[in-house]
Amino acid sequence: MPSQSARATTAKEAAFRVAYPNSSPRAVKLIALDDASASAIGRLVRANPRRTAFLPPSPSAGTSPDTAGTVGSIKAQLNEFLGRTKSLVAEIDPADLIVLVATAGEEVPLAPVIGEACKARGVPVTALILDQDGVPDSSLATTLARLRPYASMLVVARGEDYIEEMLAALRV
Amino acid sequence: MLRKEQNDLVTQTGPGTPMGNLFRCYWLPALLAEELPGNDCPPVRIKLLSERLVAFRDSEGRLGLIDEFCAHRGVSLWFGRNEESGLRCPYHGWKYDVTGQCVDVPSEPAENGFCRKIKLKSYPLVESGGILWAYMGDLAKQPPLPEFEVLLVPPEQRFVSKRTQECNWLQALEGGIDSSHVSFLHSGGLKNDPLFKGTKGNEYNLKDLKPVFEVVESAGGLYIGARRNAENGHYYWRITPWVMPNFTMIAPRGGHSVHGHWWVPIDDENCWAWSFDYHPIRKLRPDEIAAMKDGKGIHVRYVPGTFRPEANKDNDYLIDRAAQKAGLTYSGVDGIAMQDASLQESMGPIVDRTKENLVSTDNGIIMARMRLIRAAKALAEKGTLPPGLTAEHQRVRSAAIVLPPDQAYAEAAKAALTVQPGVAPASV
Repeated sequence: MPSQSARATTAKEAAFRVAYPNSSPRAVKLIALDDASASAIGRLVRANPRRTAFLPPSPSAGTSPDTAGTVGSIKAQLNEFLGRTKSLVAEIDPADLIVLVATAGEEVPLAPVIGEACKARGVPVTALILDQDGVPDSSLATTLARLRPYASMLVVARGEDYIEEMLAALRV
Repeated sequence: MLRKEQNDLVTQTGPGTPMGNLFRCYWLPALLAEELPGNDCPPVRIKLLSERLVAFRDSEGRLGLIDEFCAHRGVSLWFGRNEESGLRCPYHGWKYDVTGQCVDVPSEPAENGFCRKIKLKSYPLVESGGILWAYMGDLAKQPPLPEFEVLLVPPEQRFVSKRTQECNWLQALEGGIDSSHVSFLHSGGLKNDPLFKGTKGNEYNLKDLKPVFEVVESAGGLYIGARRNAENGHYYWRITPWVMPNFTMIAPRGGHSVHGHWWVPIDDENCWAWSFDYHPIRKLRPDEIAAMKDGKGIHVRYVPGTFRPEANKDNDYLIDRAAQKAGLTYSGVDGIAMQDASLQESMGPIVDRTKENLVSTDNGIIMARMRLIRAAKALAEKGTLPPGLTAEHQRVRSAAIVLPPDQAYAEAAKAALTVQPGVAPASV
């Protein structure tokens, strides 16, 4: 008499698995943290309009980096962003998962703001760093350090096509 | 999840399939060298990538891996007489050399040269690191022999075993890169197994049951880092490399040996789980080897005379519900290897990935599947050779290391993740 396990693990028995949808669709929001990742997400959403994304203002909005430098542009970005926090909260609240997308080497100053908002609302964060050009490790570390406190999963991928691969695999 | 056509692509490795063709780009572990211990020893049957073959060592010590069946009437050459530089079919005496060339057909006059018109399919078979490696691909594209560190250390510094696993190869591989199951399924092993216990790293493991993961794509595959809290705001990292298509290593623990696997398709519903332990700078101790032979660590005890694990589906893996209840094992199954194999086999011969619900911590699996599918398609459509064929990709190590919180492990542990002859592994 074969054991339970021997009987249960045949290909024939696999046909008797209960057929029903065992999950509901998950709400996953993509948030770009810099210009390059915003462009990548823009391309993804144009190719697949079912994907939902929230694109914060560009770091170059407001004060020109030419005159104010990096600090000025980050300030301008944060100022601009504060005016839109309500819409950010509205995006985060119903989400099952937030995916923060950043470009390797970027300082992603918005990461703490969005990360804290997610943490406060108990929404898990996956961070996806796109490292298409293979930036120096020290530059990559800058981006990683910004995202680590908030991300329960962090992925460094070589191409932007991984965003769509991941979403499809997660049944988004 | 995968779509059905994706699941089919990545799980089917027979002749002519895209994933089968991908596997045929690599040297694959086929047999332990001890299975063919001497010249003219008995031949061994083996199935790889859905092809039935027979291996033998001829009178001159040359290794042969040829079609299992005689070209005359289809008799298995496992019954053959291995003698005088060839394998002779016992039915009518047809004889083959290590290249599969028929060298004698006794019923035909030698002068008519009939035997030269008969040739069995054969593949190169080469010994390295106590393993016989087979190359089943295009001879014009045969890569250099593998250079994984376990193959390069002296024999007394390594132990290699293999076992059959009764499910598709990808189910087994995915267990090897799924770091998030360790805190549950293998939690008993950290306390009890002689090849794991008694290290500082185990304390970090058991204190912080919610590791955070970082997956980093590499040229040859992936690194999967599991991060836990250590002292003074530092992180304890356990880093697992995956080298395409089927090599994984487990992060080391203290002064124990390091271990890893190759997962090799037998056919689409069975695979070989190759398991190795080695230490880069010292001999393995007799007590360590005894424990490995006794099925501790990542090894198993066998059904005598076979490579089938003693705990298998026919005896419900010797599940012990009392041990499960008492917390000695998490699933009731004893031993790291069979804890994994029992659950992976329970999924069925080829799991239907259209029904699964992956979560964020499965990103290592998601990325590995993507890399495999893309590599198989690139090979099929453009002839692009896949990653993982060169020494540069193969000379990797796993690592366990404590780092400051702001460092990228791929940078901070770069040296630790690369083979450095004569240097101890980074281990906590």
